[in-house]
Amino acid sequence: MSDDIDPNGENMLAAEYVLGLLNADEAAAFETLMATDASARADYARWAEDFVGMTDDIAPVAPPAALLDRIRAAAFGTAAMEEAAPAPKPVKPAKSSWMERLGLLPAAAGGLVAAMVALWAINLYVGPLLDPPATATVMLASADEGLVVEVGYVEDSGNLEVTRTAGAAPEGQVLELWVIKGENPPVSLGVLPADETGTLVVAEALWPLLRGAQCAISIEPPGGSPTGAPTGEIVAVAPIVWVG
Amino acid sequence: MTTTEDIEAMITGMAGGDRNAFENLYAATSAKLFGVCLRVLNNRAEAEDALQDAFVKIWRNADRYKVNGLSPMTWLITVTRNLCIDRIRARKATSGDMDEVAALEDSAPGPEALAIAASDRARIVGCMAGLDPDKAGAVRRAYLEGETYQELAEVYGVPLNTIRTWLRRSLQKLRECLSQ
Repeated sequence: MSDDIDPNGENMLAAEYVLGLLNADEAAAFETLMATDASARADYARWAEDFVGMTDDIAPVAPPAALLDRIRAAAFGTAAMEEAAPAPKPVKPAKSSWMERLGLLPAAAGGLVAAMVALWAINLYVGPLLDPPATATVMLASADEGLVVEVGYVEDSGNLEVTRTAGAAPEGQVLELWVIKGENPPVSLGVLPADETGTLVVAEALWPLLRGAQCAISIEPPGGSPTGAPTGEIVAVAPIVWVG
Repeated sequence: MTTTEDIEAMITGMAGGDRNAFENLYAATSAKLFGVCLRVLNNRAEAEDALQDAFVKIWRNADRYKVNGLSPMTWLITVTRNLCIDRIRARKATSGDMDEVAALEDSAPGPEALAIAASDRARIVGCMAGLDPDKAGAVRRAYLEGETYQELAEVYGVPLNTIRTWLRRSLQKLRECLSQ
């Protein structure tokens, strides 16, 4: 059988990823691959299942009783809940929220499900090793999915990577990206580039806003909202989903 | 006896914010996961910290479990193991001292006392036995001790630029055996 062995072993990336042997760039590339490639995800899962067998002979050891209290405090504590909130449960805006005042409903775009599954699939790879920075994604889509914008962000980088995968601003107008934290008014993150992909630079003072918040896109006159608040139609709203 | 289905139901409960499900999962799995932490980190205080990180992460990410395609114990152990490996690497990065880890010997097989239905995972053990001892050892060191290609090259006296080919071939053999 050894004659069949591919000398380059290029299909061993999934195994190397599970073992933690890839460097940070290679691991990130493999995660990107998994986001779009079901067979890469299947390879990952198969190796993870196989390698975990190496822990079968590890004897269980009861942790000290006091540890459970510490863990409860860390998991359920106020700070922890705040941090945990954005990813798991999309919250229906309270009656008086600005979104309801604008007549918006929480958007649940069906065609986005596949993309979201791919993104969430990355999360469950339990993250790369080497303690990478946290990353965030936002999938913004209009109700009819005529406009779809994906935003990617690496914690503390200040650079929002924006990709418009469907639709565009109406003729003579622009799309403006906003961040909304809780009941606070929207804060502009900038006008989306005319190109399909581009980078918006976020001022450092705004970085903390990106945790536990939502993004929205509004249609604005050229140059962006003249008032500092959305003036045109809000066409998409979505939570910022953090990994790590 | 806690079954795979029970563990899965607990994770589903946790995804919905059910703290009782968390308590049940902790009762059912914390000893196994703590054992993994102790094995990987070989340090009790660090193992406790790692177990805490693991359960906090499991609680927060329970809603992501379903889409990952892993069986529940594999997911729990993988989360825990990865956090431990991160700690080992952080430890090396700060101290620059790898002897502590390199000196670790594989622990002797202990009793598998956990009352959780196991899959046929043990086949990895049989397939690893079919590899050269050095190569099986390298796979084990990477998985259980977080060793990098650089470290494995040093341990096995293989040049860094060939260690990857060396190990990939073994992984390929392993995959052939596991697929049979």
